[in-house]
Amino acid sequence: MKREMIQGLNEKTDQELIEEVRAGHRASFSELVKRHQRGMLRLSMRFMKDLDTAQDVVQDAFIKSYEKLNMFEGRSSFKSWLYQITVNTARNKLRENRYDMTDIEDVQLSVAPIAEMKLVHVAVRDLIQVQVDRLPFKQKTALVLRVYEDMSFTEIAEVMQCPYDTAKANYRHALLKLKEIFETQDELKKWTEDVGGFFMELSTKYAEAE
Amino acid sequence: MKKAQPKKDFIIKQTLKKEDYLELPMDDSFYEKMHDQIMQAVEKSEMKTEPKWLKTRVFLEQKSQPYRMAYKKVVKVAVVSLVTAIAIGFLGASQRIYVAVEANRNLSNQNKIIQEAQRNPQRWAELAGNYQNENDFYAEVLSQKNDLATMVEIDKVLAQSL
Repeated sequence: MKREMIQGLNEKTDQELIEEVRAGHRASFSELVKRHQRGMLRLSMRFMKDLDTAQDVVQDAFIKSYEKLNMFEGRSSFKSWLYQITVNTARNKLRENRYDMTDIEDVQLSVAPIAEMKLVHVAVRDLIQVQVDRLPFKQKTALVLRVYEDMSFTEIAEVMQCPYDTAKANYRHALLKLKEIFETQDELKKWTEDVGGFFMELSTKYAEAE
Repeated sequence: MKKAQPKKDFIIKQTLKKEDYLELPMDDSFYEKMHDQIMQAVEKSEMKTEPKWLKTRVFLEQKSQPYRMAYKKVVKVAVVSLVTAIAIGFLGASQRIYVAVEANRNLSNQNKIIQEAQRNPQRWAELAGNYQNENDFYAEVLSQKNDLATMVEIDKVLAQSL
């Protein structure tokens, strides 16, 4: 009986579950949490960097979404709405905690002359991450949603509560900033020469395009 | 340029994805625990009541959506038409003003010549004498406009003065 009920919940759409929650069935909200908690944790981690804090953000976001479920108008998807709440909660948390964004000057890249490729790679990965973190919040949000969450600009606009063109512009600006950094950072250049691959191609493509 | 754009985006996306640092727990028990914690917190929370006007507003907005799109198009077309009409109007008006100013200037020149000739016929005769023939004089004086009436008038004045 219970199994059938769980199976029934799995087959329902988000909107149907929302209607059930509104009618007083909290169990349906549990299914919504199961469906979206991984994605929300992933998104939250992009901003918070710490698993415990990211979990707090997800929990707060779910509580807010439950409290405001009656205000959900269904204009966007439930996922977009949840992500919108998650991004806003993360931003507020960052403001509260005054998280220091690591400054690029503080990043140590003391790689030995004959360093293993793996170590260089880790350093580059850190460097890229630092640069992504240094982007303004809106640009970073657009980039994270587009690159890591594979969202369309329409969905990004819904999450960011802004017009389609603004979402696109934020993403473009983020890409342009990263492009500049890729071209100017010595470590990235060096790594490009050592490893080849994407950055070289990226620079060539940008040069061709411009 | 435009064709290169999606390719560029794709490359940078792939680069960032490739260098993604994020490592999340894969263990199902972690997510079950997280789910339980969230649901415990949710149990303590209360859902806020739905605003009375919400459904009506959403319904009206959804209903008016196609009309709003059409309205936007109409407004766009109207604005473009208005700007074009104003531009054409300005162009026509400036041309008419230019023609009127020119005509007025010519007329006033002709009147001045006639008045001057009537006032001092002697001087005009001397002036006319500087030209080899009358036609040169007319051509000089009336270079602005070929007005037959004025030419006849001056001809008369000059005839009297000579």
